[in-house]
Amino acid sequence: MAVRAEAGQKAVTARYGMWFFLYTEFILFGMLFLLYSVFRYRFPADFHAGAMEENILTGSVNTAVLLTSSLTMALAISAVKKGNNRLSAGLQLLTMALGIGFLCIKAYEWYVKIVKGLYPGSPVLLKMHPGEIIYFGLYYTMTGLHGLHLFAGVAVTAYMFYFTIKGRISADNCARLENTGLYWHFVDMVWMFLFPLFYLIT
Amino acid sequence: MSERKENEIPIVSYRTFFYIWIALLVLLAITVAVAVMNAAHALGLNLLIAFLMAWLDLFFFMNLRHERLFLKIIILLPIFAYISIIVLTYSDAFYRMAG
Repeated sequence: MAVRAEAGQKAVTARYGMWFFLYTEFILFGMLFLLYSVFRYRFPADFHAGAMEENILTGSVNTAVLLTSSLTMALAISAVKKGNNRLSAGLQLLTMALGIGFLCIKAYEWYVKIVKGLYPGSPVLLKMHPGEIIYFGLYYTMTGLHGLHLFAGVAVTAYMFYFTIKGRISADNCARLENTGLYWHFVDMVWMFLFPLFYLIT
Repeated sequence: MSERKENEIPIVSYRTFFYIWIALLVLLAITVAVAVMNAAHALGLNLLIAFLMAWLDLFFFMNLRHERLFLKIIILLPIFAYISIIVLTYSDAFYRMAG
């Protein structure tokens, strides 16, 4: 019983540690959002012109893909807690597939912009107004940083998938998967704000 | 044992997560519709919906509702401080413009 209590305490400590790590991530993205709002306030017309380049349809589909990946991750954690490792592994695989799908759609969006010459330092962009240059700079920085975080999430989930099929994650020992879930949902939450700011609020 | 139970995140049913997912998709549809229709106060509405979606994500998918009050305060306090800083920044800017 003492061993179980100790294991439980370790899981709680690990979870709290993960929350504090997410804290630092919140500060990182929070400062970028603050920067966005300051420049948007300074150059409203240029930000409007920049946002007109975004495709609401692909952005919406991508958001739905990410929301669904959050569902599959949450279900994967519940499944492992119910002792169904096979279902959990399948759901983790689906979560990774959805994460990669999101990155592919995002890469396509970047490709469309790059073909138009809308990338940092390009001759086309340098001829634009200062506000538009800042808009696209922020767009690539913020969506790129988010994409990197999602890629890291896919890599960590792949690791958890390996642990799950090897039986090293179980109903009594699933803190690592829970913490991976916390990270995944946080990255999803960041997108919930990036989507309206870059695609909708024109 | 009782201490462990107190700190443990309970098993959340699949159905609850499905309901939250549907709610998130409905909110996504509403926020897109608000933007496409260029509704009045679209900016405020889009941000309000973003906060609602984040709240659902935080409290249900991230299970913050099952955490102890101490952790809830620790997590929510800086978010409140951050929003306050943004509101104060904009208030200051408006005040300077009016001046």
